[in-house]
Amino acid sequence: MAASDVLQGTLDLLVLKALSLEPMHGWGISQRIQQLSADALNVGQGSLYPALYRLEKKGLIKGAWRTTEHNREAKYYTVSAAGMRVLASEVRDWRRFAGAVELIISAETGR
Amino acid sequence: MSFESRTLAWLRAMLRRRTVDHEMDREIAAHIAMEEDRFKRSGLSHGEAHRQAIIAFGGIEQHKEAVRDERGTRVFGELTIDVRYALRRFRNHPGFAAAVIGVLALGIGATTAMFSAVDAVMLRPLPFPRPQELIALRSIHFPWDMRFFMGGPSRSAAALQPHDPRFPEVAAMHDIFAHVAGFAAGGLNIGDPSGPVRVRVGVVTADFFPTMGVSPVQGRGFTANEGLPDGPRSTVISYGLWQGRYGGRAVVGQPIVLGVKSYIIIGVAPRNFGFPERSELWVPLVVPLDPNIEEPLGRVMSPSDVVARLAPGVSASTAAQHLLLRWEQDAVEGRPPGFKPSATDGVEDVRTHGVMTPLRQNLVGDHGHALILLLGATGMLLLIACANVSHLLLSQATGRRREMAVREVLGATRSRVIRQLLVECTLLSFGGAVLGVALASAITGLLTRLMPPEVIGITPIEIDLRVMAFAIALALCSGIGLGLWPAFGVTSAAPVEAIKSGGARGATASTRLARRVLVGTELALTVTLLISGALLLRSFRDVVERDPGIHPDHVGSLEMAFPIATIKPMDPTIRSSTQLHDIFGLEQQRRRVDEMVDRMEQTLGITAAAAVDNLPLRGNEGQGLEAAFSAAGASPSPRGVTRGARIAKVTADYFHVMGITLLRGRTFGPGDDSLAPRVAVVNRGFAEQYWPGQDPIGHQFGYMERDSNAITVVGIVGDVRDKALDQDPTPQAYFPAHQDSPWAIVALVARGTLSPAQLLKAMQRAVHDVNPAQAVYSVSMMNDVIGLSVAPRRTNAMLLMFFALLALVLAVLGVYSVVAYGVSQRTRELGIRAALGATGNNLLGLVARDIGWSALIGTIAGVAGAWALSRVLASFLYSVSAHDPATFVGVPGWLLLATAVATLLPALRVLRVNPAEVMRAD
Repeated sequence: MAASDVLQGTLDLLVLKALSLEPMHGWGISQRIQQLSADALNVGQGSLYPALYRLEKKGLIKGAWRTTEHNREAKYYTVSAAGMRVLASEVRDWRRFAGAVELIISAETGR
Repeated sequence: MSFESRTLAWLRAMLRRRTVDHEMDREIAAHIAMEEDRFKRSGLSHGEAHRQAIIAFGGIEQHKEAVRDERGTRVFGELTIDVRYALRRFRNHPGFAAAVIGVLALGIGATTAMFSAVDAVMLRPLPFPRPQELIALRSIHFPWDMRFFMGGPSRSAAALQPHDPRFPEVAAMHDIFAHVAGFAAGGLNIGDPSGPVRVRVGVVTADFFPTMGVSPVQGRGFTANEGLPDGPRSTVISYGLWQGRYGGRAVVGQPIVLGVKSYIIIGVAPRNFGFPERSELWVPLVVPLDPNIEEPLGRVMSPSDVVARLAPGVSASTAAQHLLLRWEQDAVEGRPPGFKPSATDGVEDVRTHGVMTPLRQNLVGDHGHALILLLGATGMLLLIACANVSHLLLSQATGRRREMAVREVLGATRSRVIRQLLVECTLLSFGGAVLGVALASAITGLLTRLMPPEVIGITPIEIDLRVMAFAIALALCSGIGLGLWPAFGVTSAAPVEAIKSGGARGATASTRLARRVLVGTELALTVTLLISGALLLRSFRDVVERDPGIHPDHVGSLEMAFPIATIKPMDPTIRSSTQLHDIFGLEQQRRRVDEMVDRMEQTLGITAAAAVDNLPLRGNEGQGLEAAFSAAGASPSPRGVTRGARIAKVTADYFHVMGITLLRGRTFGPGDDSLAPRVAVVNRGFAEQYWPGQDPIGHQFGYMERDSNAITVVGIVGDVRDKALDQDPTPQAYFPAHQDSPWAIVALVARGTLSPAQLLKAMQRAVHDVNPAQAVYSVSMMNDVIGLSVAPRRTNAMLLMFFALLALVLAVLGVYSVVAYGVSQRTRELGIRAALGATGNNLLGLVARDIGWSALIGTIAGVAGAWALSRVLASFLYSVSAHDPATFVGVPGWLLLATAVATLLPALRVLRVNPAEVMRAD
């Protein structure tokens, strides 16, 4: 199965989730999402950046320049307290939504 | 995130756009490098790893734009591109840009300048606390202190007291007024080691400062005690005087000599407070009035200006009702039952004109109308300027249709292209606004002359933020208005068609119509302005050409005020005025004036000199007393009508110096001294008023408290327009100086063959020789005095005519460029016509007809506009009808002639069109 593109609007959730595990730079986030989804999701690497900027503007994450283990300069993002709260509620919402979708599509015909 | 912090973030993003962009670049570069590392680790070559990394990332620029979108800085980025592009265009077409900016600067500059004057005079609140509570009261009567009059309170003096509400009673109406103050503006000499200095003085009642809502920054204001007769002599000085004369040292309690009297400084007024008429210090006005106020005011006259502050919560209309009631009670008080006030009575006057007006309206008076008229004129000028610019843009735009179409085909949205055109127009009009504001600030000095003297200094004309905002608003409106029109015409829904048709060629029907409308509008507005300006100018010429009744050439004048030794309340044993004057040294002053006049007459080059207390045409400088007379054998005046005359006391040679014609009888001679029988010279109007149809010489009359009918008319002289050139002469009476009260204020006049500068210098030297301590002011030639008296009328007429001529130039240029452009656009068509056999005249007619009709219709519309405006104009005109036929026919005639020339010059080019060449071209 080819990796599917990330559903519109869920990118923020994924980024927040990935960052809540550990502070990371943009490239790391794209790798982590791909890895966590067992290569099922393909995050357009470039499209991460608008999302990162959006989240930073909302105050949900914060960026700071640091050196990677390979001695490169990269901007690392961390989730703020507000970001953690938003993440929790987004996760709740997503579960409710996914559960509802699951219910509908698993309904048996002819009932 | 709150709105503020979001705005802040956006602002930061705007300001740090470059650094933020740089950071984004670094971040993306780091990302790609890491991706590259990953590919290298999986064994790809260096170059291939880089390629794969970039492919994995996706369109870098696209993503950057997406980030900028998130930041909201993208529109701004495009705006900078538009601005840069527009500036480049202007550099490539400097003539076009300069023309547009210049024309707009004229319109915006003129309008802004006039707005700054209107703003200062009519819009900006008066700089006093709660100015809306301040109102001016009409015709409040100040009672005289009768102790000062000869023989005590006499019946004739009492008869002079009108039945108007008296100031103390009005001031006590605390239920409607919080404070009430009377004031008058005058001047006093401050004793100074380097010679006396004249300062402007506000003579004000005790409650003045609380009424204006002003408290002194040092010391205190006047107390009730200082507003009473024989109260302490105190003065409050202005901030400017305090800083300039005293260097800001402690002055409260110090003495200061004003005139010949010593005052104690009790306070310093706040900075920038100079009411009334830029007063530099204030002295108390005592009520009942003491004739000694004559000194700063230069006249024995009751002040008529009363300002009141409404009590809290009282509306102006409630106060007006209360006050009118008081007027009506006072009017019938002491009159026979059933008494009905006549039309000229005070109470009828206030019934028709109201008992009060807002203070600003009272100060500004009719001056506001002239300013509004001129603002309207500049508005029209701006419209004409916009029409011209509009035409320039339209010509430009037609030529750019192809360029715009190409941009649209290459993917620019239509709104993007329109936005770019708007940016260009807005930039141009901002250029116009900047230049216009510079222009406006250059002429504010001239505009100050249009200001009513009562508000100069209170609300100065200045190019402040409000005025700048006005100019910018004008620029924005005209920029967007001008830009939108061609923008929609140029961009099209079918760009490909536009490219195929070659774009530039052939004006469409709609733009051709637009051009005609523009030309018509320009001419209509120009005709209106020209006619209005011509009418004002003709009025001005008529006024100036009025015979003033004097021959002002070679006559110099200067004025001085005398410190009058304090007049004491009358001792009943003193019966003659000469006796009194000797006691108080007033005779000495009289002798000094005589000596000054003598010295002048002895000067080589001065043929005659005289003194007068009422110099004609000096405006409201304190002279021009009107007095009521009783005359023997006079036809009785209708009840309630006060018949008065302007009086002047003069020395013998006055009529000769001023060139006033003696019609019959004699003028004064050395024999008319205080011992001789009292005599007078009157003008024709005076004789007509009292003895219509009779020879006035030999008739007798009297005035004020003097014995009735003790004065004999010995001569009759020509009328002098002494109030204003545009006012008919009033009845006038002249008395010999030696038979009248002593000088309070005196003007010395001298006629001579010297040059003006030498004459005035010689006159000042003569004064100085007699009394080195005497301060003189208003030293000027009589011609300049007359010039000053018509200055507002002249400034109005000149400014309006100036605006009208600017409009004319713009309109003619507009016609010229429209025709020239039309010809250049139609060269091909005209060539074909010529080839098919059209004669030069045919072609000329074709081109001229294009503009001719719109010019004619525009001119007719303009004449109609001027006709409609004449009602507004009528109050500014003098002796010229607002529908003056010569002006209404002549001006449009000349304009059409100018239009014809402007049409023919470029149209003649069609005669040089060579058909063969035109056909070969493209």
